[in-house]
Amino acid sequence: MGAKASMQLQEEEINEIQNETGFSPNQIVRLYSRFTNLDKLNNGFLSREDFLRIPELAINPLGDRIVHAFFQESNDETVNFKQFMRVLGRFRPIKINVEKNKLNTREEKLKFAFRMYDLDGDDKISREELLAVLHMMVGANISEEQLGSIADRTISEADIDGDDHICFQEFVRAMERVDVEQKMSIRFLH
Amino acid sequence: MLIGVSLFAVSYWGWISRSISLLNCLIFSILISAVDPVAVLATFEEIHVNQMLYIIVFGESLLNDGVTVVLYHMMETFIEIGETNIIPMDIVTGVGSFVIIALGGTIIGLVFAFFGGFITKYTHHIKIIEPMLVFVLGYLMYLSCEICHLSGILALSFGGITLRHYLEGNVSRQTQTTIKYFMKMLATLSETIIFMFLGLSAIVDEHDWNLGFILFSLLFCLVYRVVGVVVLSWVLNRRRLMQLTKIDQFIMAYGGLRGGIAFCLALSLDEEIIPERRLFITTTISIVFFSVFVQGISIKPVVNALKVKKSEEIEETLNEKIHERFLDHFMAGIEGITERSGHNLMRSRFREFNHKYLKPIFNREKPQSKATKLLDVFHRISVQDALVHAESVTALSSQARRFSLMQNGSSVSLGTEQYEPHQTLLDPHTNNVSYSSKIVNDSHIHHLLEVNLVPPRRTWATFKRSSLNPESPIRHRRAKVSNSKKTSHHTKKDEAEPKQPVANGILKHHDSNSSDEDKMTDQVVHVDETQRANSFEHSPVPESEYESVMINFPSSHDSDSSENAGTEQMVFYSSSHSPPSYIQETAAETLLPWKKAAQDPLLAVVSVNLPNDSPQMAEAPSWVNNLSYSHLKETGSPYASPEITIMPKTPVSADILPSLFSIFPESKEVVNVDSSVDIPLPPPWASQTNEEEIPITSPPQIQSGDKTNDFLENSHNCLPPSHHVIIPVVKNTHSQEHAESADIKALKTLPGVASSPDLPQHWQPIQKNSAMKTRLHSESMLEELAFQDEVRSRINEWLQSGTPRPDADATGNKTPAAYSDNELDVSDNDLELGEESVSKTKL
Repeated sequence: MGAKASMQLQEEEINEIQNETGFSPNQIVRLYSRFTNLDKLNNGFLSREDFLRIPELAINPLGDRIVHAFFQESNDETVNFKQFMRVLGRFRPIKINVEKNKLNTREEKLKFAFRMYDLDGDDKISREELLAVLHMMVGANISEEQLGSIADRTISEADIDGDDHICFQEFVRAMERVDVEQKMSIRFLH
Repeated sequence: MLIGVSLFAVSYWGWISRSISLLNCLIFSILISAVDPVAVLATFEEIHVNQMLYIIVFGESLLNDGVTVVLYHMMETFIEIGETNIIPMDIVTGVGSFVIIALGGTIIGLVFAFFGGFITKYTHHIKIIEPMLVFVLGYLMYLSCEICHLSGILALSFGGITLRHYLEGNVSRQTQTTIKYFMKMLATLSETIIFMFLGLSAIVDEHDWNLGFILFSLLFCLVYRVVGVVVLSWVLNRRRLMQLTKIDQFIMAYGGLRGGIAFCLALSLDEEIIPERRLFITTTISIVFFSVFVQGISIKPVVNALKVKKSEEIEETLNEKIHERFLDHFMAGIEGITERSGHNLMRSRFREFNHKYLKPIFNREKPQSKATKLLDVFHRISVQDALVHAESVTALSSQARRFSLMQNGSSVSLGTEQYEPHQTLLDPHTNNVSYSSKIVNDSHIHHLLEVNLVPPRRTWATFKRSSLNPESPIRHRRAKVSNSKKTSHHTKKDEAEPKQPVANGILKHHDSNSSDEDKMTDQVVHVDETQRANSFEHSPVPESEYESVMINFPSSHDSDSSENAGTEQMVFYSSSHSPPSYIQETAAETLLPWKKAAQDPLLAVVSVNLPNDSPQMAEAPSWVNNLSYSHLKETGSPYASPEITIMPKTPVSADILPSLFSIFPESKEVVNVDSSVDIPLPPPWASQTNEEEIPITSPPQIQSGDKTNDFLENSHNCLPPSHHVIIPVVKNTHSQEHAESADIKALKTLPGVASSPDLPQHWQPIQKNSAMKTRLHSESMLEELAFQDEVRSRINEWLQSGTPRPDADATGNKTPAAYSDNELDVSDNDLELGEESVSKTKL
């Protein structure tokens, strides 16, 4: 455990993460153990392969994107625990009166989802990006044209300023009615 | 339970004049605490609370039934045994039996549901069995459970859910509709009977009125319900993401209406066992009355006052659907990462499992793409937009409207606005072409005529569905028709086929979504009123929605300049609603006879299959066969635009044809070929000196302004209507031989426009039978004309090379024009187009 000892969570780290993300210490510890589980090579950080080794991600049509979302956070090829937690911090359920966490607002959640679409990071979802996502989600039975028209249609629905891209504001507006707080939350047991 | 205990306590303390034994009280409490799903359903539907609340209460009432009945029987047996004989063991077994009964009922229900799903997989040919199967299965579930003293209600609930899930993939839309409405009718009927009975017995039976008892039980009912709800909510809230608020809880408590179940159970109390039967019945009746009337009536204002979150009219946008699905996947992934087996993960796991294993077993078709719901929404939206657009288009003068739509880009309503880009999606090029001012100006008269001609066409659309007997034949006919329709448009062919399996799934989902149906119905009704009164007398509403969509389109578009655009869209929609959507195809077919496969022998078969409705069910209007009308364009207008005679044919056809094809990349080769055909040809086409004579004898050439002569064409000369197919094929092959031989010989004498590598291409158009077969009549007509002229020129060249002339050999690069000018007589003679009159006129 010598090698691992240095990677054990320090008290300050826990506090730090707690402040940043709002997780309780219990949850942090539990997630840390999950983190180390995934970290097969005991590096103290996760690489893409570690993520993709998770079976649910492997069969998930959006698996790649999800992994990518984690790595966007870190600007690196690895994800350390803090970054891991920061990403997960977005998915805590939003309690109505407990709004003090800036990572966990509805806007943040939506922003995260938006970034999943927007690969090139120009803050707009273009038709190609949308098409790519549709491709991944939809499977083989739909023809190209149909997908294309679905994509066009989606963009035209959401696009208010008419630039043929969906910017973040338009995305937010389109998702107005969707209960994002509930959808994008995971119950982390205390 | 609590009610019973407290009631007993009450009686024990003598507050009421009679003493009732504990067990009896208990049994009473059981039956009185049963919340009635019927009453709940009715009330909550009225008040439109948000879905979660609705589900909670409704689910509670459903499951409540199971529990209640179980406990009731348990109690009955206990009472039979006698109070003094009860040992703790009995209680334990009682509880155990409760579990068994509940589970057993559920399992039986599921088994029957699977059975039903499996059977419907094979009932494709006997559609009438399907609704019967559903009803029978339902009853079977219940009966078999009752035989084993299991919970029939639970069996029904779960079995019903499962059955529906697998059934929707298998049955036709008609069956679904039948089942749905019949079930609703039955349900309403049953409820009515129960409550009527309740009321009657309230009046008729002799009562044992014990006010104290009644009041107390009422009080306890309310109180304990609240308590129960609060306690349970607290327990649940510890685990729930979305907490049940106080208001929610209040509604749940308040919405616990007693009804039929309680009453029936009370009635079924056995007098000997329970002496207080009359008392109980009276009390039950009064409580039911109270809860239904007071609570039921007051719940709506209460809900409004408390500002409970209502269910919104969900007009789902495509965005939402996509993103929601996206988020689902996403969250499932995240949950995988964190190893939390949350809802999403389980849901997606179940979906996978279902999709992979269960569905193939029970569903007829192969499970389609997983995004059928997505497509479903897409189609729904498109269709809605289409309706809106069609409305707006036909409301004003179609021409002006389209212009304003396209040119301004602004639109009157959101619907049209949304429709516009969508429209653009489908026909970007045709739109561009159609609205080029030149063509527009020229074809203004077209549209006037077309507008006028549209109404007659509409009447054929009203086909009778009275002939229910040939239900299957109709289906097959339409299927064939729709298939032929698809093949008729080869550019769409590739698109149509992949859509076909998808659309199957789509269609089923369409119907499963009743709220959307209702919405569509509203729109449909509106559209109907505004446009056609006579069109849809026959079918049940959900089907007419599709029809109206289909019919609106062509009429609106036919009256527009871009016939191609209209028909394109027609085909798009109709091909996207593939064979299961029989009605649409038929409507489309009747309206656009030329759209059918030009050379589809199936049609001959099909028309034979037609039941007695031939005049209206006919594939084509009767006048199509009248060859004197063969000069009419696809839109039914005899008007041949002068532009076509004046200008070379190329701009029109080249513009229209390539643009259509460029949408569908598969046919690019055809495009190239087309252009290579058309472009070198203008000279012969335009510069024929004998142009005036030719129209008389050759297939209707639009160039001729000489319409009257067209009427004199004999059958050989006229271009056969597109559905009389065989002849052109023969012709083509024949001339192909000529062409090929000419090719060999006249290789060098061909116009230098085409260099040798191009030559095969140059010749190819003549061989494109399949392509011609599958195109629009108009295009094929133009093609046909081009082709024939082409053939003529080829023959000329061939003849020239065969009969050497100084001109021909010397000027190896003579244009076909020269040839055709000189050799027209010869070529006409040689052509097997049956132009005897040609020779007559010429010679």
